[in-house]
Amino acid sequence: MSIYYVSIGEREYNVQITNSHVLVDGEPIKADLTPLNENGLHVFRQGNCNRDFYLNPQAQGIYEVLAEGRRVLARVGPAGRRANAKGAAQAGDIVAPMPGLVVMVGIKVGDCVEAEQVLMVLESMKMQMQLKAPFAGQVKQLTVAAGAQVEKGALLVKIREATE
Amino acid sequence: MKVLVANRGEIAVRILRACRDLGLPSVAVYSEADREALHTRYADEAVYLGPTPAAQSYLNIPAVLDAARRSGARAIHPGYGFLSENADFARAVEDAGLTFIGPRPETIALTGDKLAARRAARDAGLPVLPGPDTPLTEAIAADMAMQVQYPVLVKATAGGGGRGIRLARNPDELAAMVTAARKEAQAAFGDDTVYLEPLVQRARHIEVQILGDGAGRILCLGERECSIQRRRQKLIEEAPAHGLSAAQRAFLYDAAARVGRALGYRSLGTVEFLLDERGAFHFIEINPRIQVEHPVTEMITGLDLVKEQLRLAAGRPLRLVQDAVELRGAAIEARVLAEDPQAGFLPATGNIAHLKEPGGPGIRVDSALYAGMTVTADYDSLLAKVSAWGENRAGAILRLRRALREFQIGGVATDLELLLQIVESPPFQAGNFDTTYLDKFDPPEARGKAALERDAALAAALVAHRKKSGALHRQEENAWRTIAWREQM
Repeated sequence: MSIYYVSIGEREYNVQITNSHVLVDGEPIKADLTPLNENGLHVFRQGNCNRDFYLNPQAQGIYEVLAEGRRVLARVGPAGRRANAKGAAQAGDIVAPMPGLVVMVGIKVGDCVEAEQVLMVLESMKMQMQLKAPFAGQVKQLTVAAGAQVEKGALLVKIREATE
Repeated sequence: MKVLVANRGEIAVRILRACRDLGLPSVAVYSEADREALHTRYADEAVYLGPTPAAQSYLNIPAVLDAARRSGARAIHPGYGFLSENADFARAVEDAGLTFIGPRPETIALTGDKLAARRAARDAGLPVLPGPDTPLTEAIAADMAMQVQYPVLVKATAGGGGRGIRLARNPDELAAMVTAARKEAQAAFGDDTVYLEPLVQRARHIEVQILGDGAGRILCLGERECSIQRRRQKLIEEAPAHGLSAAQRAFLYDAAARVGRALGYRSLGTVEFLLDERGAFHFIEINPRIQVEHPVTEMITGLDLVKEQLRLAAGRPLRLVQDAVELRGAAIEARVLAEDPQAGFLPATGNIAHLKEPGGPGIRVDSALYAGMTVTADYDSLLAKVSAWGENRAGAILRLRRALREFQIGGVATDLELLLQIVESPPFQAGNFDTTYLDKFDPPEARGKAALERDAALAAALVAHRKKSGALHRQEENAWRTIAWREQM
């Protein structure tokens, strides 16, 4: 028997898979999942109901699931991982919330910044977004300059509370 | 007439299709990022413009003119966005001895100056919003701020696409908003002139499609409603507008035709109005180009607007008279964007690993998508437009809902689920909404959401399980013959 913990949003599901059946949160479910091609398209069969399920494995055990006009991100992993994932980024680590172009950098390493001060401006698909300091502090690290192309999630600035 | 399409994405493909329908040879242009893009493969020829940033490619006037010269194109269609509303470009095209498929350069210059357009509309007898006709080029003086009627919008005279607009609710806010709007206008349009316009509360956005021959004849091709907007960006558009009286409609068409005639309008244009709570229309601006939302007009008129544009540009007369324009049924368009509603509508990028576009009766999809395509952050986020026609509005809604559920885009986050929630929401279905509808939109929990998520969790666990047990590998050797998961274990 294998046990998987699958989190979707705030909800975590316990999925037990054995040779003959599947339990979701202890409840037996009769369902088949059959791949239709190598690109991730499946048929999900439950009773007399056949549905398109598209499953796309992404990084870190996350699966993108498309079904019935909806898109769900399901993370498969050991129990309790979801809870930890959120706190991973240290406060004061400013990461790119979207991929894009750095159009303006208003700070340099060593600068003292106010809370809510604009640190830099990112542009993506004609949208501009200001990245602001979450609290007052000092710039400890700056990884990009204006004109740089950044990926989503890239660390841009480290701010630490000023130690005087 | 060989036509060069100075655009990319879905609208480039849309225009190239019309060229093909008319048997006109076509030329696509592309930037570095678009080397393999669908529009380059759809056209008869494709010419490289320059590096990925739009300023060096799709906004690069010398490069576009050079592409036309090298390919022997005789006419240029600008699509929407990019150079479509640039009067200097239109003039440069004509100076090079080519045909600009759109209004005359003077018309584009006039409509591009929102205050000038407002004056022209008022002179033609259209109702315009009260407000000083003078632009604000400096910071606003305190005594002036006291005389303004609030709430007020601060708008860029060179504005468009909902950019360079700020709302001020009281004199204290006005100074800051004028500064912010001027800054944004400078960045977006290279011109920081702004003007004031009273905010129309609970307004509906209603626009009229016109087509002019440049010699004083104007056809009115019905209205569209574009009130479903997110941050002043249209998301869902429909034709006709729900619930207008015959008198309102007559007033609207007459107003649009009047300003069109006053400008000697040539080619396609859209006259935009706000409809206030009391049922009165207020002119806001004229868009001198094909609109993103033109398919809904095509669906209810049965016309191909781009073909009409191409015919006129080739020197042929208008084929239709106003009495022959018949509006049938209702059509609604939804914009599928690479934006993730679950992540604050940030632009989403990635590889489209799986794609199934909807189809069937009454459905039209305009896109430049293909499975395997990479969506980048270089240009705007519009991936596809899904339009549905029905004999009436309710029928169009049912079909649009079906189509949105059929649409599968894997690998890139989109707003498909939000579109579905809007279309399924009772106020939308009842036609009870204004331009602020999405500001406070709180969709009810989707029916069957819990069951669907449970099934998704189960499916993800099954795929992870097979991966772990190597079942997938064995299966690939079996040449993807379908085997139920139970039998594999």
